[in-house]
Amino acid sequence: MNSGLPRTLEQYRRAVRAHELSAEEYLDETRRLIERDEPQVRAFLHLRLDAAHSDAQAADPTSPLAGAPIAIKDNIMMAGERCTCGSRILEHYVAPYSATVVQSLLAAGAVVPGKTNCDEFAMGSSTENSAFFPTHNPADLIRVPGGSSGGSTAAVAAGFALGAIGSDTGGSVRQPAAFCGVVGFKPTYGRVSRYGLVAFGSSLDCIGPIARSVRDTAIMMNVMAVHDPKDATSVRRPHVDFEASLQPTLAGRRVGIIRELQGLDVQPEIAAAMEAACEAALKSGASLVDVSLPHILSALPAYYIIAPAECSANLGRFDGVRYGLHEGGRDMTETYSRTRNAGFGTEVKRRILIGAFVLSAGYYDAYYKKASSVRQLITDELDAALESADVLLTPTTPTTAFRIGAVTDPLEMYKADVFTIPANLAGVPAVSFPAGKDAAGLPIGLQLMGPRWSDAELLSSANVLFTALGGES
Amino acid sequence: MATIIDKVTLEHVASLARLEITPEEEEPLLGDLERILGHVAQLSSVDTSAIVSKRPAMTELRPDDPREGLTREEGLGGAPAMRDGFVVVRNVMGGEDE
Repeated sequence: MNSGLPRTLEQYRRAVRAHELSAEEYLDETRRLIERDEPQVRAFLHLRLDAAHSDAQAADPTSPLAGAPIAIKDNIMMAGERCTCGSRILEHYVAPYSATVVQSLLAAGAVVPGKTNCDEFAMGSSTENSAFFPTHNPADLIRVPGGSSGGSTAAVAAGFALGAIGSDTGGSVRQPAAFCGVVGFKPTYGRVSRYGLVAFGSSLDCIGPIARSVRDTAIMMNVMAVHDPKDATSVRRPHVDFEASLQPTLAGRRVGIIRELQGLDVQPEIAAAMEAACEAALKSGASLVDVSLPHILSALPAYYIIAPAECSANLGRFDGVRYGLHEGGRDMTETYSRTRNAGFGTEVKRRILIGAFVLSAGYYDAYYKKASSVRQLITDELDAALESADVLLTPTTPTTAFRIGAVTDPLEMYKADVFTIPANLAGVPAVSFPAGKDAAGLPIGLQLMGPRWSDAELLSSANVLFTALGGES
Repeated sequence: MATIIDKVTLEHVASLARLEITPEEEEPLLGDLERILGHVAQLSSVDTSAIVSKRPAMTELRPDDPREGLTREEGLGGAPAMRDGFVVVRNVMGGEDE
């Protein structure tokens, strides 16, 4: 991007309000960038640049987002636009209404350049499970952007949008944010409405913002965090100004390091980034505390029972009758199975089968019920740890972005989520922020988790570490 | 180690999930599921006897007031086949389709 153009949403908004830049001019620059680089990156499943141009012309410069381009993951509905979830089964599906979070963003002056690529129904950690094409990491085009919100994080990293939204069921906002060198935030479960998000694992799914700075995610949260009567899991909370809550230091804050994660095999540069973040925390007035979560390593197996179980139920609605693809059969049963076989990709089928298995008679207690108890155990341990520490610091991922096609074993792919899954199981907020690069120049992400409803304080802590490690304030 | 999932179980589960497993899919799927289920089965060694399952927090219910929503056409617009404002399906009670 031209050096004169704003790098962040905050800089953009300031420039637009000072009449140094218009939303239309900025969108034209964005469009040039998309036309030049999108054929290599492939962040979008559908572009709507002409409509976005009109929206930018009409944008109110005094609105909270002032006409800034914000991309939307293609499992979140925007009225009149296709919503494929990266799946053949919804290839031609057009959303009849907008998700509440999309309505909020549009009302706040966001301009949507397009809908972004994702792993099919958000199941994956690389965006290679998209039924249409893989997205490439802008930091190195032969590598994956992470997933499942890889299109959204790649769009922000490549300059195709100043922000984006994604969904995070087991790390699907934070892991690709780490791989692409951007900030990704999973709010507390219930903080952001999910009305209009195509459900994957309903007890885990959260919609979260993706941006180039922590401050920008706070600006987006000011728009996104509203109570929604249309989502029964949306919780009414007192108003918080996320941006105004950003504090300059970590004075008095306790940063917890999880003992049980210390022995994990992590790329050396990521371990070094953890050290640097600890030093930055101490320098900023925080104290470091050692915390123990004896069962945290059981989070991954518990998740890969609970999430497939919920997905097998949620994806039951794709039957060839009510929406999307239809493959006729001799009777309804054959119509269902032919449609689903033709419409779902391998990973989705795999997870539906695991889910149907762990919920089936004879296996329910040993798998699903056990996993639910382990989930409670981990939640209790996390809650206790977050009483002796204000935030917990971990890597976001064990490695930086891998090459497209390099991980073919589904179990190996699942292991990329080891650090991100606990926050989903417990419903606590967690943010990934860039913390330098590895020897190959690939972005490294670190994660902070905090207590339920401490979203604003968590972003404040992340902002201090992010800026101390070289990020834009 | 005992097999967790065999061909018969896979076919049963697939029929529950309304999925057809093609012969080419069967072997690799069985291998993947065996390894994934083997991995998650490690939970059996976790002592959860002291865990009291907590009741989920009560969700706040809104008043049951009618309000504007999608029209019938908008709501059904994504269906593959429609007639007179209804979704068309195969005869589910046996016999010929109309």
